Parts: sequence; structure tokens; C-alpha cells
Amino acid sequence: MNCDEFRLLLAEAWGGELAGPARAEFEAHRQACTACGREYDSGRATLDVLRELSGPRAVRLRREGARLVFEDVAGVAAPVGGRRPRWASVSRYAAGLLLAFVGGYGLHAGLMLSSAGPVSSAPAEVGAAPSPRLDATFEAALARAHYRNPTASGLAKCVTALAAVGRAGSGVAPQ
Amino acid sequence: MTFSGATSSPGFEAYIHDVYGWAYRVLGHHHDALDVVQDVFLKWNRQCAADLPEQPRGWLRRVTLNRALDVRRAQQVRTAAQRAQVPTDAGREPRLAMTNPAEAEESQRALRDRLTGALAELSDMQRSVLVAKVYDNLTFAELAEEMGVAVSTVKTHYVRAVQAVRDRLTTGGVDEVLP
Repeated sequence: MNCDEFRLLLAEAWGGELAGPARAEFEAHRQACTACGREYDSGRATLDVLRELSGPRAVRLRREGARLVFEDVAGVAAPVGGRRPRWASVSRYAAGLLLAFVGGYGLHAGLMLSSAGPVSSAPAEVGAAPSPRLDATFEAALARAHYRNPTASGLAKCVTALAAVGRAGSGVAPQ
Repeated sequence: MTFSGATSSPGFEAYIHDVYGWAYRVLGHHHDALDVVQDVFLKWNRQCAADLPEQPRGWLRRVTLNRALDVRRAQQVRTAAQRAQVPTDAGREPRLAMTNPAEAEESQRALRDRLTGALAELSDMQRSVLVAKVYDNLTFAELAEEMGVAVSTVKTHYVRAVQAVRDRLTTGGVDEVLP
């Protein structure tokens, strides 16, 4: 056997399908030719490295109606849905928006009540009245916040107005 | 894990363990492999709605390997980005032996990275032949029948695939395990 004939048998040798007299000749040439021996050994080692990769764990498949259920044989509970369905993230997003809207509306309503109560019921004190430059009421502050930034969210306007009212109460001029 | 969607596709159950096994060999992670199985299952449903593959097993192997390699590449990009943010320990002395399971796992992961990199550079045919031969233990004759090509063609692809992976590993730093 020469080197060309040896190379023609490499696939069978690496694939474990070389048998009979051809195998004996192949082995003889491999022992005799250093280059061919190295070629075979390096390929063999490559395949061994490939086989070193850990294999899959035991799993089993069963069918439930129109669904396929994949289970871990070892009894380890596989979490359902390694990847969440798209509707789940959409519904979470919608729920978040709804909560934000309700929260913002509630906060707005609460601020309106809390600011309207004391201002209307408490007697005005001499010396504590805000100057005309300051926001005297929450409604005025809210209107000013809306005028300054009409595209801001309702919640942002409420917070801005609340801060303005607070500054007015403490005698600090709005920025 | 439950796969949503109708299982009207004929015969997918017959190959699902193979699909899982191919994906797992590339990814090395149970849940990632199941994700790939799900993707392949959906693709199979779409494909079957149009036309059943002539060689289902070969079609599934090719699709699964390509999908798993895509997932692996995406993971490697993410990992590289994360490592770029972590300070390196270049000054530390390298350890000569693996002393704990974490190091063994790291070594296995590094090896898998190199091998999947090598597999990614093969042609579809070379990759399918190599995986089928190494992990499915099919004969050349069985592979030729499955792929609808001559036995000699399968052998040629196999030899070229082994040589390409060997060359990649040799230049990629695994030459200490190769003669």
C-alpha cells in the first residue's frame, strides 16, 4: 500500500468501518510511514476530542392531546417555558401601563384634595400670604406646569406643581 | 417543558430526541437545547405545511445544527461583552491541573467553544456528516441513503470535515491533545 491508497482508506479507518485484509494493510503502512501515521493519529485524536463533549441528559417525550411534553427522566423539574411566549411580555407591559395610569390618576386626585382642603379651610394669616409671583394654589401651579411643558405626563406635571406649591409655602420663588 | 402549537406534523416525535441531542452537543445546556428543539419544531410545522422534507432526519439535523450554532454565536458575543467589562487577572499564575468541578466545567466550556467554532466553519454537508458519524454512529452507507448522495461523496465530506476541525483545533490552542 502506498500513501495515496492509504489516504483513500482514511474515512473508513476514522469512521470505524475498516475491516479485513484492507485493515491489516492500512495498519502496516501506518506503522511504516511517519507522515501517514501522523495524519491518521491527528484525525483520530480530533474525533476523540469531539466525543469528549458531554452528551445530553436523559429526557423523555410524551404527548398530551395536541401538545408535546418534554420531561427530565432524572426527575428534575424542568421549568415550563424556557422562553416566555410573546403574549406574556405584552400583557405584562399593558398591565404596567395600566398601573402607571391608575397610580398617576390617583396621585393627581389625592394631591388636588390635599391641596384644596387646607387652603380653603385654613384662615389666612397676615404675613404668610405668598407674593403674587408665587404659585398660591395647586391648580395654578398645575396650570403653570402644563403651560411650561404641555407634553409632559400628568404625573410629572403633578410633581412639578406640588414642588411649586411647596416652594410657595416656604416663601421660595419658583425657578 | 411543554411546546405549544399543534402536533399535527407527522413524525416529529420520532426525531425529537435526536434533535435535542444535536442541540445539546453544540450548546451544552439543557434549557438552551430545549429552546432550539422548540424553534426547530415550529420550523418543522411550517415546512410540513408547505411540503414534507424528503429526508426528514437529514433536514432536521441540518436545521438543528444551524440553529444551535446561531444560538451559540449569540451567547459567545454576549459572554465576550460581559468579560470585556470585568477586570482581567492576567497577573495570576496559570494553574496546571483542574482541581475542582468548576474548573472542569470551564474547561469543557472552552473546548465546546473551540469545537463549535470549528463546526461553524464547515459546510452544511460536512457538518452533518461529521455529527451523524460521531454522535449518531451511522454508517457511510446509511448516511449516503439519508442524504441522497453517493457513499464516496459522504466519505470525502467526512475526511475534509475531520481535517478542517483538526486544523482549527491545532491553531486554536488545543494542540497539546493532538499529536
